[in-house]
Amino acid sequence: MGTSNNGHGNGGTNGKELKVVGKPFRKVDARAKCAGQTKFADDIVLPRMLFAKLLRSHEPHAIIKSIDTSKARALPGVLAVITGKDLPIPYGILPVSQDEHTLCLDRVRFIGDPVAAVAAVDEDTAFDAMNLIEVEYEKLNTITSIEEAVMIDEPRIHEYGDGGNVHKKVHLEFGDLDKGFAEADLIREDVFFYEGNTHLPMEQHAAVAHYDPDNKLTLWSSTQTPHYVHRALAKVLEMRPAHIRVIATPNGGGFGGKSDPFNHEVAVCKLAMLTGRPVKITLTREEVFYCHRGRHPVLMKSRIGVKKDGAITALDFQSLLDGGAYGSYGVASTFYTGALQTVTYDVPRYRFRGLRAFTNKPPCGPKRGHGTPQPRFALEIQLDKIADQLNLDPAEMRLKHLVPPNSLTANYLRVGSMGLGKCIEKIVEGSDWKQKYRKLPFGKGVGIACSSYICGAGLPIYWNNMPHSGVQLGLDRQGGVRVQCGSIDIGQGSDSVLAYVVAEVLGIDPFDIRVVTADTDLTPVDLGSYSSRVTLMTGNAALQAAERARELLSIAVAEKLKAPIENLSFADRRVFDVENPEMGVTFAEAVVLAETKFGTIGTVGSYTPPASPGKFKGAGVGPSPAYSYSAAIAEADVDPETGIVTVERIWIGHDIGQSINPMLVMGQVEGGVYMGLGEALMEEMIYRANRNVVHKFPSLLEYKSPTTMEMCDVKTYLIEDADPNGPFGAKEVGQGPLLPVMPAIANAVYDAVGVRVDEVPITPEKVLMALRDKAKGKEGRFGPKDVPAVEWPTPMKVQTPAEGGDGREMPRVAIHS
Amino acid sequence: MNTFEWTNPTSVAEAVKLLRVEQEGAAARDQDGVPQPLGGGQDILTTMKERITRPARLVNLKGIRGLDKIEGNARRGLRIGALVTLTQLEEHSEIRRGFPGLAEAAQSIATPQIRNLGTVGGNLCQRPRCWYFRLEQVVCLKKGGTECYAAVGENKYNAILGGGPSYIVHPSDLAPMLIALGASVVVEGPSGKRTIALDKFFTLPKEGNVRRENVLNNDDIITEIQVPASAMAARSTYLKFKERSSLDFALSSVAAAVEMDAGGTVRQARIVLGGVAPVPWRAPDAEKSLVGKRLDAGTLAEAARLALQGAVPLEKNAYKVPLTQTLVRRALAKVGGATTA
Repeated sequence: MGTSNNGHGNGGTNGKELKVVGKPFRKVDARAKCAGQTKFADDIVLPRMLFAKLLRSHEPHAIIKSIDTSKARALPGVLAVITGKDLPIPYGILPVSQDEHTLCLDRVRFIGDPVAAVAAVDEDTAFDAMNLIEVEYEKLNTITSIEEAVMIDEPRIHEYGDGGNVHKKVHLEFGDLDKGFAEADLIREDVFFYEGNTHLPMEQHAAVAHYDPDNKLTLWSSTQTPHYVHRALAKVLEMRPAHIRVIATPNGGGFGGKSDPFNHEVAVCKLAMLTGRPVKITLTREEVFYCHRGRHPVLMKSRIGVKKDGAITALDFQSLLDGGAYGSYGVASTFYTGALQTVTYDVPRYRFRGLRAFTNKPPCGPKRGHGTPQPRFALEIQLDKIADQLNLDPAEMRLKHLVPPNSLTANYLRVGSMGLGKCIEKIVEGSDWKQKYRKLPFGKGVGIACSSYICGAGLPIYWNNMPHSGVQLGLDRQGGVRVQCGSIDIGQGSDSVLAYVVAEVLGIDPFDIRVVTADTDLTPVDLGSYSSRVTLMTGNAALQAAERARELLSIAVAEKLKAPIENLSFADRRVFDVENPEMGVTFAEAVVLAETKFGTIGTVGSYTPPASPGKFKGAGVGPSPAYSYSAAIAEADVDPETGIVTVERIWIGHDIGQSINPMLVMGQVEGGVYMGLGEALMEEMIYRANRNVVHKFPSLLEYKSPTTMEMCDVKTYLIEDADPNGPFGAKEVGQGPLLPVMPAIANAVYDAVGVRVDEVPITPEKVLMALRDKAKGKEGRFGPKDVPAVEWPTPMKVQTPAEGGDGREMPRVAIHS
Repeated sequence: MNTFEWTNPTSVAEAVKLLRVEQEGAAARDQDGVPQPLGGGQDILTTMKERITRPARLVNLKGIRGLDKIEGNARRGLRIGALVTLTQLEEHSEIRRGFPGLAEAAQSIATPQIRNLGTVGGNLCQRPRCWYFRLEQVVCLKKGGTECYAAVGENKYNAILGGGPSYIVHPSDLAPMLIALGASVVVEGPSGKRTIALDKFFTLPKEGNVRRENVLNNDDIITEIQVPASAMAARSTYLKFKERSSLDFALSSVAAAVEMDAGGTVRQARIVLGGVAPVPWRAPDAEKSLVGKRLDAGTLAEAARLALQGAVPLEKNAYKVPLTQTLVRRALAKVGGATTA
């Protein structure tokens, strides 16, 4: 049973009516959550536990001249103080950017960069000790924006990258762009800016480390990626991975913000090892803002050619990302700003140029939609402008040019099921679009936008050919089933998905299943809760493990019942002959029969995504076993006197393939809309630049995000068109539905008052400025004018499938022939 | 936060004694380290947790009886105890009927949870929300430093009127409305009781002690707010724009109250702006412009213009001018009711 599942989830149903999948069961952990009984990392209390604090830099960019910890060490109640030299080995989530240190070695790169850590008997003592540490800095000039990073090479924030303060440059060209633009009836060039914003999980990051007398280290942490944290700890602490156990505690929200290995996680481990006592840290809300890893601010320029009917002939897209002070997932983020433009509408020729800059701000990384909301915002507004210019209905125009199902895009992404058309049709009908678009009174408007998202990254973060997700099942002779998987529930319901899938296959109640997850000692590796991969990948792994268990039970039961194996059905905690349903045994009896025959019953399942058709360098970002699709229509009310935008309602269609649990799917859709509303209208990670690059105010009061009072009505339509690669046909929902919200709102604002705000957040002030400009006879637009000039590298040219390409880079000589 | 002494006086006199600071001079200017009164604790606790105040002693006023009552009605006027919560104010039937603007102002504040604890006295004595003031590391003018960083820094939320040398805005929502209603505060200190008209209570940084927002001494306590019966109270309103509908301070706000004759002509009017100046900002010229007029569009526009005359926006808060003008027009249209054209 060693072979890996590679993306052919057959649904596992054999045509049987589904009993669990597709039904609105409660989450397996719902009652504990509602009753406040769930143990989050900060709830963990161990005997003799110490408390840690990190001293963070108040300088945005400086050389550390000296650190004097003697006064802190002398404070009664302080047990250990560490600095950068105690943990000199760098780490980072991506192998290509191992640029972080637990505590800064010789240089701080943003306000909030940790320089020392203290363990003390209580938090107040740790805090006081922290303030006794004396750090002498030599200030360096700061790099505060994309523009500065592109222009100013010195001082370099990092000694690696693509020159100066540029972290990464990418230039990919698929097909003959000149030909595409020559065929176009209309060419548009637009510039957009997407401001950065942060995840804002309700639970602040927390971690507890325990080093036992037998030299085994255990870390409990609110992390979305226990496997990657395990690897980082082994590296930085120079320990055998076998001696480290990482347990991811239930996350009180992640949204991508707990996907990196973090300074505090390593620091508490080291402090626990030095003191021999358990050490806990819970970050303050302020520190969560410094950890960040949120949405990259992206400046974009999109040049697009279309035919009179809106068919795209060529797309030339540039994105410039403000990465903040460290690499994080940034290289992947950069590629993602260019990867998924092609999987919604047919884009026959495509060029992407991307650049990520280092700046002296908290590092950006993956936030819900990772790298995709920004280009999606640009493209969907640009299409709205095109429809306006060509006098086409933007919904119909989009419907006409959808990427076909089961096709290969110009940049070699394999599209399987494609339900975007149905999503558009549903929301157009549900919203009464045809009676509203360009027909509502001044001040009211509707806007449409679409999107697509991956159902799991096709490649792991570090290079290997092993499965991305593993599941072990143990069957108890009294009828209980234990599911073990490395996946971590961040609130999205991944523990429940494991139970539902196994319950469906084995015909038992999901609440009979004990789910054990996210513990590197007890569970097989799952790469983590990121890239919308868990339902599809762990779902497939669980399906395989469950089918293998069912097979063992079937053999034993068939023998006992003297019935043909293919006649056996598993349902209602029974295994029975479908032709003679009273002939059967209970599920527990079936386990007894199987255990008697085979010995202890345990099975495994695993999942590896199919190989990507793209073979060029950079083809690793974008491929996925399946793509989800979403379309949204926003109805907005814009007050022309104040510019205040109120979103009244959003209709959203989401192509989920198959809901494992429709209630959880709806919850994710509505959560995505909520987050999108915040990104569209108010959220921004902004800094006091020029002098200091201080985060404006790292608090929940000043970081404006919507409350229930701002939440609009949401009408959700789920499109269930099973994808052959998904378990029972399921696709993702955690991230996709966020994506169309921001451009739909921007387009609704235009429909309402005739002005364009080509950046988020769409604040009242920007709307009013655009309205006033328009009243003066100007363009009626608020947004960036241009992108800075960049010296791009020679493009990597790849012929498109339509041109007869094979997914490989064209030989350089061919370019000049 | 720092360690501090917690005291529970049962009388105003005892509380005043506990607030007394022996050494005058520097301490009289700086209220951050001296004993501080505690009502609902909704503001002072945040300043302590952020380490921008370090009171040596907290004087809990909640053990003093009789300060948590609302007495009176529209005919007699109101006497509001300083410990009355914002929720009490917002839900009080006489206030809702006779002083609608005051109920609206109370309801616009923060969240239900905060309003359940926050008191009227505390609301009037809130410290500024300017982020430079609220950052421990920044020693700005308000904290004994030499510079108002908001003057040239991030000043989206700062003053467009009455600013300099400090550009804070006063965060209270009740204050503009209470001033529009002609309210006074009763203050008790070591030398006894005194009554101060609320529009003389707040101090501009250029006129008073820049480290304070009002005329109170360290050992003064507000015990009561008096709102007179007024022909304007029934036609009063408070409009507040906040960037999110809950849990937010005013980007700008307008308290308005008018008295009109049967024919719809304005007899007297009060307009007080919030969120735009270091004190609640009264607009006397705008008020005068309304007298003898009907509230038609032209009158409203002129009043809005006059209310913001003299506004000098900083680099990032020019939006407050048109926003506040719109709020003035809408507030007046609202209190004008059916008589508005």
